[in-house]
Amino acid sequence: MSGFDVKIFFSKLLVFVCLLIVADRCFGLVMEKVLSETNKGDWGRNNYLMDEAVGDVLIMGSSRAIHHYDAGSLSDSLGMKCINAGEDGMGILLMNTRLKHIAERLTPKVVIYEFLPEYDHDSELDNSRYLKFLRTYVDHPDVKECVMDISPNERWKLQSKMYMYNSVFLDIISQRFSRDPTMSKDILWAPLNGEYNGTHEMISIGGNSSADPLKERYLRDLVQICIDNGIRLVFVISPYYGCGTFTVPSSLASLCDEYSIPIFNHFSDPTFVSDPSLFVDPSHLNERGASRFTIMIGEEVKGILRK
Amino acid sequence: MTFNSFEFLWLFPILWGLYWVIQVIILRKYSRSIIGNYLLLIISYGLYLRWRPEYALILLWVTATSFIFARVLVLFRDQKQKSFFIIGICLILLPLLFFKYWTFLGSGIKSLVNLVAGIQLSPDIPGLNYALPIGLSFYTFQALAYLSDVYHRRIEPEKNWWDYMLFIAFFPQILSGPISRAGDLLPQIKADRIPDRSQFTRGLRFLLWGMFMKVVLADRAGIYVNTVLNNYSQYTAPSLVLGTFLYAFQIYGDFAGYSYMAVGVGDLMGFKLINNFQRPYLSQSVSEFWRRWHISLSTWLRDYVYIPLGGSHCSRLRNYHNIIITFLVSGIWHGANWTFIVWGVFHGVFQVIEKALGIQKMNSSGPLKAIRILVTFCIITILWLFFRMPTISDACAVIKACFVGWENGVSSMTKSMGVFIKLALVVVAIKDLLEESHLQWVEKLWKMAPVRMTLYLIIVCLILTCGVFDSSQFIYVGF
Repeated sequence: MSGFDVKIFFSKLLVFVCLLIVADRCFGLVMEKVLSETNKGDWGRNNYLMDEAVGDVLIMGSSRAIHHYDAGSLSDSLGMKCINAGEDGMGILLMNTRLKHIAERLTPKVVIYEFLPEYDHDSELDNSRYLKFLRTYVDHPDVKECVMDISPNERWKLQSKMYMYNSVFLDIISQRFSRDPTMSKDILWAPLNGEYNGTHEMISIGGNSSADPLKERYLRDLVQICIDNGIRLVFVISPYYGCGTFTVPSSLASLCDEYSIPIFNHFSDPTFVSDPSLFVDPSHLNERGASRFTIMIGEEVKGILRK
Repeated sequence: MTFNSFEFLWLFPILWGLYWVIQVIILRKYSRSIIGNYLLLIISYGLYLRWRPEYALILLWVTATSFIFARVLVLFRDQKQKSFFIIGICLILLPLLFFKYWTFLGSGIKSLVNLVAGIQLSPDIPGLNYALPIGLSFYTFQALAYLSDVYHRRIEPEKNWWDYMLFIAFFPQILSGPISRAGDLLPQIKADRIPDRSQFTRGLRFLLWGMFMKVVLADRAGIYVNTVLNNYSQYTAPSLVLGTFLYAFQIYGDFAGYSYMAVGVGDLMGFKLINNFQRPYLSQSVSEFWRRWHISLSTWLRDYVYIPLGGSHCSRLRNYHNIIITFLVSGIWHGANWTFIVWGVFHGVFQVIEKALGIQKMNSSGPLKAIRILVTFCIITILWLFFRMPTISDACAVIKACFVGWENGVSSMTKSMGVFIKLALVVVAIKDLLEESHLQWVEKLWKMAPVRMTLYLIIVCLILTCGVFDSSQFIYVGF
């Protein structure tokens, strides 16, 4: 390739890269605006939880938090406003960061954490899936720290605004322009309908799984935030359908011992575990089961608050 | 380091720049190819060692045995030469047999002994098929072809060990091919490589398109395919049919994506590698499909299995037998499992049927062409189930379940996932159809630089916004 050819090749490449940067920035600006105006669906809820939500009791955890706890009924029972910050398929990495972010604005009195080893303790090949709701908030220092902890390469990848909204931009746009009145940002809970008609199986959770050091660190950190801010923390394990055992991971057990944090273990609660009409699948209560469970938890939390 | 990883994104431009800068600018007084080859060899082995260092010894074994036996072959003639050729073939195949087929063969022998003599052998004969060195099937076939070419005097044995090492370990193709021939690649290794703008542009274009096919089409479709086919008993017909249909595109996007990227990286390094794919789903027959899918393997099987068996220059029945055997080998090459064997044999059977009907090379047009393409696609897609599922009974169960529960809709498909998959399918379909049709106005349009630039920009934007960036491994790397 002659010197002339080299110049042409690299100048064309440069023009292409410049155009790409312009397109990327424009996309970022548009999406930033759309996201900030989204007040429905997952993304509206994420904005609401991160920037607006005010309450005394915070319910955190995975799908078992958002589907099992009726924040409205719990508010009535405790006489305090409850917010359900649980998220499908998410765990301690998102919850810790959410709590940190919320704690900058307000200090809740109680945090009810629905603990599930799969998302809050066990090691996984890749924790990137927990970045879904964090990438767009990466400018906030507490969120940035978590993003870098999960994947150090994100520092570079997130220079691209298109990457920042990768795979989620359609959801954000559709939720921004949705006219569905049921897609509230302030979801008290998301009850599941239906009844489980599968078999009564033996389930063993939390026994042999190896711990993810990052999740352990974030769990300890969550406990520390609660201790530092005088927040009453309660860990709950809601019922599973089937006959099985739940072994509290040693890291959680030692944390709870150290700071006298209660664990309400309802994994094998006889009120639930043999009644399939209270479940939609082995790991999720349906609306009826969740309502009953919420009343039970409300009483237990009241007991803690009385002490 | 896979082509779809973040590591590749930053490391490759550095290696590429270093390669050309050292060759062209710093060492312009010396023979460029020699220095470039050493550099490429260091890069190739360096990248392979990063995976599992001990497996580089397997690579070295295959390289050394094929190199030495090729040199030995020319020293002898007649019977002795044949003996050395067979010993060489066995030694080259040894790691492949041990790592990939040992357990399968062991369990086969066990069952046979049990069946014939009624003796229960236990425990299982331990094998290492759980720790298959990556690219083993590909570089073993490349070495076998080289030895066979030397034996049949199609090429002279290579005298330069370092060049030969590079031929086997060349990093763009070592993981999943294309399976290059010594006659194609070795002369390129020996020649002076001069940076060529059009080749670089072609390379970037292949790289870009390969990336699109992998991260936008294959990995996106893979999310749905894995959800449905891994738990097929929980899904009804519409979801299973969609999952099966999407698997056909997942494997196309995955393997063609890898191959395009390999060709692209080869171009950027100054090499021309064989293009493994020619719009395979536009084939009018299963026979044509194999002229368009994994071309380097198909031609390998044709030259080193089908033709030595007698090819088509024999009786009709013998020819059919040769086709079946060739595709049986193809199935076995893909994996040590009865599913691959059934998949391969079925492909052979369909080609025999086409040959018997005389339609294997018949080109139709108009509606008949469309019908033939559709029928071929359906056959290929159903056969992919044997390729995808862990056992034959699982594959049959999925096929059976595809007829039950049509009253239900498609499940586990979110709105956005559906849009992303449709978008990827439409883009791939448009590209393949336009390339296939050779329309003049398309070619004229393609010659306009702003049009090309805009299309490249759209593809990059689609990759960034719709791609799946979990650096997932390519399916064929497992072979």
